[in-house]
Parts: sequence; structure tokens; C-alpha cells
Amino acid sequence: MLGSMFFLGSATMSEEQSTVLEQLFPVTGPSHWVAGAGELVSIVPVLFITVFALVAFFARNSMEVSDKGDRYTVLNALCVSGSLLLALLMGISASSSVFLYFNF
Amino acid sequence: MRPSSFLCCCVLLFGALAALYAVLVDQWVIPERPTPVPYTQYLLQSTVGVAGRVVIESGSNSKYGIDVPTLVRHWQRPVVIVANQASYPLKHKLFNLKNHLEPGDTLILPLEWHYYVEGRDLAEVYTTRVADENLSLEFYFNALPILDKLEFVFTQFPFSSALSVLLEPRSYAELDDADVRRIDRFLRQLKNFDNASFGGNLKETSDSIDVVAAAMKCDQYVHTLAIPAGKAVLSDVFLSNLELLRVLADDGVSVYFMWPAVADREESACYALAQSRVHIEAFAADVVEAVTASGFRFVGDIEESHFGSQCFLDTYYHLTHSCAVKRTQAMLRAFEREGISLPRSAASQETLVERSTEFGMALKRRYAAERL
Repeated sequence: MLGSMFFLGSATMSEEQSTVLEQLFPVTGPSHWVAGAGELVSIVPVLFITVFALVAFFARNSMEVSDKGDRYTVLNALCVSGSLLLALLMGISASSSVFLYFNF
Repeated sequence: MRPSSFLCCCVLLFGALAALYAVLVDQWVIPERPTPVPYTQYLLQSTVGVAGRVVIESGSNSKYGIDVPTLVRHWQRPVVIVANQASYPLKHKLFNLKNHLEPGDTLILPLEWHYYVEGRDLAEVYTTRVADENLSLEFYFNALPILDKLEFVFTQFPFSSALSVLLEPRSYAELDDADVRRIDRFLRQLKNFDNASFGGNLKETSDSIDVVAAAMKCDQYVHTLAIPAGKAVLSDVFLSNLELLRVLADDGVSVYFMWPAVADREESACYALAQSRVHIEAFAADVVEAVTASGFRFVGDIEESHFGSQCFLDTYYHLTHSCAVKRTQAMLRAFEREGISLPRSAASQETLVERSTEFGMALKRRYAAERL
């Protein structure tokens, strides 16, 4: 949208140029260019899913706890910490922000 | 295991796994290589020890906007352009320079406009090339201090890049062969003793125009920062880069800032949109104020680095070689007007070429010895 805003009235833009601009301006405003915003946005859903997956996998109700007692092991700790680290690492993404695209 | 012990165990294991990942990235994914891939980096590394070098760093506007022989004739000092892409972060470039500049050297920074507003996000093209199959930009990562390396690994380096290397390890024998072929190419380029031999450009024409530049007006391309959101604001990253430069200056390196070279295109002039012109001038004043407050000098004004459409090569930031000569002459006039004279060096441009050639030959001998 921003790309098309720049080029209102330009009838000579090629299809290749249009594609480049669509890639450059996928969202509609400068807020997209705020440093770190993309990173934060990409981390949140991954963390959310990971936490809920861990809860679903490890959670026990009170009957289970009273019947079987506490059975956390080092392996469980490894799963939790490993998953958390993996989620954090997978949330890191490079930016294709407009400032960082140009080939100069 | 009790809940408190479980929690402690999780924290300890998290730290251990994170440390393991950091070591893997440092030693395996982005290992240090003896021969850099870009010629400009080879020039920088191979000429350490040449007294009184003038080093020009920025994005590619310096490569296409400065004529080294003109500077050498005037200053009687060895000069190299080490500029490459403007998408690469200035902070990493400065740490790299810090490892290769020495007291008595001079650093000139005709930075592209976006360097004054860049944030912490890194370009995909950069993070990819740091760990690609040729390790094209490993020297930037390996020049970082440990804390900055950790910041890069845990906040900026995509896991997918690390994973692809871990799943498909590189062939170091092939990398060594490519290094030797590249050194031969570098040595041939040095022998030419022209602007390209010192990191510059010789092109007068280009087969094609960059598609993005072709699609955008100059002020949109060069100053996207100023157009939609009003006057730009200096970024914290740039201010912290000034502190890094202060360290370099305290070590005896003279640092000068300049405006980047830009050329109009027939369809679009630079610094021409009335709305952006106001913002650009106000922003430029902020830049000069911040740079001056940090103890550095800004040489020349914006229009001295602005050229007509006859100078356009393939993007607004790239000049033809003949215009690069004119720009260099304008740059020298600006230095004289500011009363800045660089003292002559005992070393000449020939000394620089000799040193660089010796460095390449020594590398080749090392590869040959390792093969035996």
C-alpha cells in the first residue's frame, strides 16, 4: 500500500518493479520499521505455543499428584529448558525492512 | 525431584544448552577463515602496518564515489576504500575496523543516510552471508567482542541459518581451494594499480539499473526515512556507534564524516521533493550536531556530494567513475576549506601494494604447507 502510495500516477512501472515494491512494503506504515518490532512479533506466538504444549504434556491433576507423587526428573528439566531455548532461537528472524533491503 | 530443585535444574540446563549453542555457532557455524572473501576486506587486513593509511568506510557509495589515485596524488598517503554494502551494520564494520586500524591512520566515513537511523534489526542479506557456504562475511562476526557475539547469536542470528550449517557441514578442503584461487585474483587486481585495485570502481556505464532504484524516486530511495513519517530521529544505535568511534579516535585514529555521494536520475532528482527537503535539512543539522558533540568533524555539505543525472550509474548512490573523480576533487576542496591537512606518510601507495602482495603470497605458502 505504501509502495503504491509512492507511485500514484505512475503508469510505467513494470511487473518486476511492482513485485519488488510489494516485497518492500508488505504492511502499511512506519510502525513496521521500528527496530526490533518484527523480532518481538515473531517470538510471541512461538513462546505461547511452546508454553501451552509444555503444560499439556506435563500437567497432572490433583489425583495423579496424590497417587504417584512427584516424578520430575532431570530429563523433564532438559525437555523444558531445551524447548524454551529452541522457542527463543526460532523466534529470531532477520529483517527485510525497507532500510535494509537495498543493494547498495 | 522437588519443584524448587526442578526449577534450579531447568535454569542450569538452559544456561548450559545456551552456552553449547553459542560455542557451536562460534566454532562451527561461523569459524574464522584466514582469507576474507571480499577484496575490500583483503585490502584492509593485508595492509595493516602500512604507516599513515587513509581508510574509507561506508556502504557502496564510497566504492562508486571516490577515486583513490586522485586522493593519493594530493595527500601523498596510502589510501584504500574498504566500503561494501550499506545493508551491513555499522557497528560490526566499526569493530572490524578497530582490529585493523592503527595509530596514525585516518578513517573517512561518507555514510549512507540510513546509517543515522538504523536500529538493531539486521538485514537478511547480512545474516545469511555471515554464515553462507563461503563464509563471505565471517570476519564481521569474528571481530565482535564476546558480549556482542552473544547478542548477535541470541537476538539477531536466525536459527535456520545455524541449523542449515549443522545439518550440512562445509567442505573445508573446497573452501581452501577457493581461497587460493581468490588470492590469485586479488594479486592480479593489485597489479593493475588503478582505482579498482584500491577498492574503487572504473565503470562508466551499467547494463542495467537496480530494480528498486528504477521504481523509486531518489528521495524515496535515499531518504525513505524522511518521507512518510516527518523528520527522522538519530537512532540509539548510531549514538552508540559514535562511542565506538571515540574509542578508535582515542587510540590515535583520525576520524572524519562526510555526506554520501548521490546522483540524480533523468526521471528523478535527489534532494528535490519540497516536503522531504525540509526534513532532510533539519535532520542533517541534527546529525552534524551529534557528530560534532562527540568530538568529530563533518567535512563538506550535502550539495557537494550531489551530482546530476549524467553521473548516474545503476542506483542513486552509485556514480560513474568520471564523476567519482569530480566528487573526489570536491572532497579535497572541502578538506582544504575546513583547514584539514593530512600529513604526508613515509609509506606510499606502492608500499601498500607491496605489503598486500606479500600478505597474499604468505597466505598461499601457508595453504601449500597445510596440504603437504
